[in-house]
Amino acid sequence: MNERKLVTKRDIAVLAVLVFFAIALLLFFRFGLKDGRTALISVDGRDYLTVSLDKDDEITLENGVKIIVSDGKIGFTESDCPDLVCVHTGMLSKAGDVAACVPNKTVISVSGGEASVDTLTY
Amino acid sequence: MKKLLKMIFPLLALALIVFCCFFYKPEFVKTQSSQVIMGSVVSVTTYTDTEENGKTEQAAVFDKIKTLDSLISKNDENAALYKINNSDSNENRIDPELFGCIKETAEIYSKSDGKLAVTSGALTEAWGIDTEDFRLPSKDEIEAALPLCDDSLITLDSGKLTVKTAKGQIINLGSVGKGIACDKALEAVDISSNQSAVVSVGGSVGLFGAKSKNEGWVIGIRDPYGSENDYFAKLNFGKLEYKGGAIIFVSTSGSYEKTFEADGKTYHHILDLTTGYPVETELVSVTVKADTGLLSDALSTLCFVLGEEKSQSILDSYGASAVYVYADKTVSAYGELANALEIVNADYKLR
Repeated sequence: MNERKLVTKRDIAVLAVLVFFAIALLLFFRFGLKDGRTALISVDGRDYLTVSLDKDDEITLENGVKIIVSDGKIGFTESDCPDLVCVHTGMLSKAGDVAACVPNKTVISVSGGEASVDTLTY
Repeated sequence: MKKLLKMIFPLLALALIVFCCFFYKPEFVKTQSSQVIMGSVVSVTTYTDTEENGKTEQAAVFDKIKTLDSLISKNDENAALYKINNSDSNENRIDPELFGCIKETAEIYSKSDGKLAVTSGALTEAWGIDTEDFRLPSKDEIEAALPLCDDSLITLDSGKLTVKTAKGQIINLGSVGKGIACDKALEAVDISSNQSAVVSVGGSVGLFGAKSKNEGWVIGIRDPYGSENDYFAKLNFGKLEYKGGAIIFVSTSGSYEKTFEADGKTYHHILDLTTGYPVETELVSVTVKADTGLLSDALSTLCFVLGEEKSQSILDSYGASAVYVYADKTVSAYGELANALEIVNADYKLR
């Protein structure tokens, strides 16, 4: 009797490799892809600009506010407001992070990637 | 040939998984936008069937809050409340909505042992709170303002919708405005057919609808000693999703917000009307979950000024719950929120 088994060791090996690649692909598409994070800059109630956090950039808005993108992070660097809360907020990187210059009605909010919380209470 | 046939099943499986990856689409589209309204960042995140509907809904929320601001602002000359505060007459007929906000806030603050009042405006203006000129007033200015910050001097007539104030009194809804804004946001949000939304008005939060079948809402409580986007704990509302978890309001009052320094001392913005100065307490923040935005906002301030022990029976009477954070980074939770609390910063410990 030399009938081949229905499932050989080789089949299992091939299957295992395929499943491994499938899972790797799944994870890649779900979480990888340089995550494609973007930041929305809104001024005076209008969506002004969406920038990618993957490319370093320097932006000067019409109201004089300066914003930089560096190393996958974004933040205010200059503003004429008195308290400079916007600049002190520092650099944003995670989805859901928000920085605002209230006197200049300018808001930066980061989206894309996985957010660990839906919002903050403060 | 036989071999090739045997390969078909694993290949099919692989194809299926890759296909799912490419065409993986969440049930609803998540869209978000932010604006500065009422001197605060208003962020609206919607989970809607189409992106367009999300954007429309967000615009509607912003409009609601702008309309509210033109009702309850104390500083905007065109606002209804500004007009009452600056009216020559001491008795004014007012908008029913504004009347309701004043009455409810006065009722809640009547439980504060005189530390809070809806007529706190004379004192908050002496300190320049909610202006760009937050400052330390003189003793004389404080002495002059305090007698005016007394809710027993106002008469609210629910029948005629009038409010009568003593000369010089200033009604101030600054400590509840963000919560009321969350209430207004709910009016503009459609949570039928499983759509949902998250609204934050300067850190007062409204969670509307269920996020999804598998996930509950998670919100972070700001780390009082960290930067603006740091949180020390999470509130996992998925653990509380009892009554469908349809509508949740959460507000936080903290002494780390809006501060200034004078003569080496740091002053915060939550004033105690029995002293005329910022509340002296071991607490740095209190977060409250309640049935309405106004309630959560008013109660978080009330809990902050009264402290943990005195505030708990009041929380009970409103069916609300709270997380108290102390200056030594110890934390305690009362009521329902205790089940949702998860501390994620190891510097913080439960008391």
